[in-house]
Amino acid sequence: MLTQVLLIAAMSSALYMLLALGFTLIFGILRIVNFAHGEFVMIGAYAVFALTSGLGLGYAAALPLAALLAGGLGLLAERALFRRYAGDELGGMIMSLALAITLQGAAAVLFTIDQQSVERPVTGVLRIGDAVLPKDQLFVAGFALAAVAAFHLLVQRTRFGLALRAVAQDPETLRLQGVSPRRLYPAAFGIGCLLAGLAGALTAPLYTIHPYMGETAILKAFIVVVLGGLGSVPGAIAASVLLGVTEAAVSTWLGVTAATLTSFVAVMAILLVKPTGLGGRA
Amino acid sequence: MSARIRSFAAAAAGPALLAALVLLPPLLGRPFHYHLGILVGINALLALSMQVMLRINQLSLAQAGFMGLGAYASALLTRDIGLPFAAALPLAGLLPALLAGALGPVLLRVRGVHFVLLTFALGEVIVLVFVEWVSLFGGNNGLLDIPPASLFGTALRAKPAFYALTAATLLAALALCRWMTRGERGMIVAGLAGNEPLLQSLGVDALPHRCALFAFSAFLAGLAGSLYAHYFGYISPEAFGFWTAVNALIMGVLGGVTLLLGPLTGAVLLVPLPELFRDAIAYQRLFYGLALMALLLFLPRGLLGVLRASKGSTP
Repeated sequence: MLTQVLLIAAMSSALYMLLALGFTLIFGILRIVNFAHGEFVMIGAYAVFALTSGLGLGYAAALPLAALLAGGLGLLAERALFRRYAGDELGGMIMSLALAITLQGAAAVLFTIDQQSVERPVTGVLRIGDAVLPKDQLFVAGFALAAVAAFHLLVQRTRFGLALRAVAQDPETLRLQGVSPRRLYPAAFGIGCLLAGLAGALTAPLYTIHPYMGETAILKAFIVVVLGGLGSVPGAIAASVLLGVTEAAVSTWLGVTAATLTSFVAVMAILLVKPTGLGGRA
Repeated sequence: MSARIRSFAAAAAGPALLAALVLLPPLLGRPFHYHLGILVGINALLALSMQVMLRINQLSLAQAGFMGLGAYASALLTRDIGLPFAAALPLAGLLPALLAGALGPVLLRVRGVHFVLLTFALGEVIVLVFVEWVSLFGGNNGLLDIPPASLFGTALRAKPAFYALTAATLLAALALCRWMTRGERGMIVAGLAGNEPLLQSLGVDALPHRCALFAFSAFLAGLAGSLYAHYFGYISPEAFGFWTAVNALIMGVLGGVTLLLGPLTGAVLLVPLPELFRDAIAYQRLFYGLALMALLLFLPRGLLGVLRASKGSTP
């Protein structure tokens, strides 16, 4: 029982990291709370659905294409809609709500509001002791962890990552070094949306796909990001593990609503006591 | 002389617009128009409650949760305790106001985007409590058989009667908001939005005023909830979730955030849309979102804001 709970916790933590990283990156760079983040998850899922059952592509080809599509749309959204709101937190938030409504509406028009599903690329279960692990969930968790590791390397080890960290920490100083923070906005927004799309594409075979599926995703991303501190990448990673473990434990013993309630109360407590979150910076 | 006429026109435009909007359902006269009028009134109340907070530059997403508290309080007080509606309506406003007033000193220390996130979480917590506390709130099924509104022993079952009640409540709320933004009180509100340190330096303690406004906004949301509960006779938690708050916010933004009649104008424009375009239901959300984005891009100050600016009466 305990092993099972821990394994479920580990798998959902990996997914939460992927959901939250893009959200926190976009806030860290553009100071925009992107309420449409869940809709980019939805785009990733629908892209996999359209590419596999519409064009007959294999899942292995559809997965990266779906993530790239979400990232590309994110780039466009930054250009057309969000650029002007850099620094205007309230305005950017309202625009992201409008974008969320539009994307939900577009998905409902293109794919109807019926639930769709994608065939599982991996099947079967793995047994460790008395714990039973579905292989498809293991694949998702493994892939998500690999993507998080790649993102970590990008941010920590490349010149581009250095510039990203510099914008988040001190845009003025970066400007003094001759780099305009604005030049990084499209890339940051695109990468954030690409990560969201990847999360959607990865989980598409696990859950049903529908135009309003983004809401669950954004709730998880929201909880993780607030707990970890808005804009903090290490904070988001730590908070994902925290959320994964508490959720698995509370929902096993008290039920799913109680688990959600617990996490929101925790979110309120964090915002009140330490608004910068566990990760430290605001 | 012409300047005088113009200033008279500017002064009369608001009341004239208000009178025209309020009299529209009785002039059209069909039950469906009264139904739309009631929905507009309830939504305008919620949008107005959100505007009270926006006036001091704080976006509260908990307003839908406060509306839910008002709705559940009003339903339980009349249905299970047997209180008359005339007593339940003000109590439905006071209960969320008390909660907001009690939480205010803690919540309102948080500013900006963190306040939005905090009130978002509070709204979710309120709705989840409705879902989880089944014995009192009926869980996901909500509450059924809520008695109709009644005043002076007469049940307001007919739509025109309930519309009159909604319109009267909205007008009273508008009058309260107008009173709040005039004179010294209005200057304090403007100061809270514009330059709080300056306000503090003039010897005004800001926090109690902010708390009072938060409580007042929750009061308006609670009234909207009570009207909602007694009009439909049935309530369930999902009616008071995140998207209800977002829709109210959008109505306020559409009409113009800083103008008294902004929320009502936004509600008049948006609430009938789903009712009128039932045939194009698949496209409704897409058009709604696109229209909203266009509005934010091209008319960032709202429709009334544009009219007002073209007359040159606001800076």
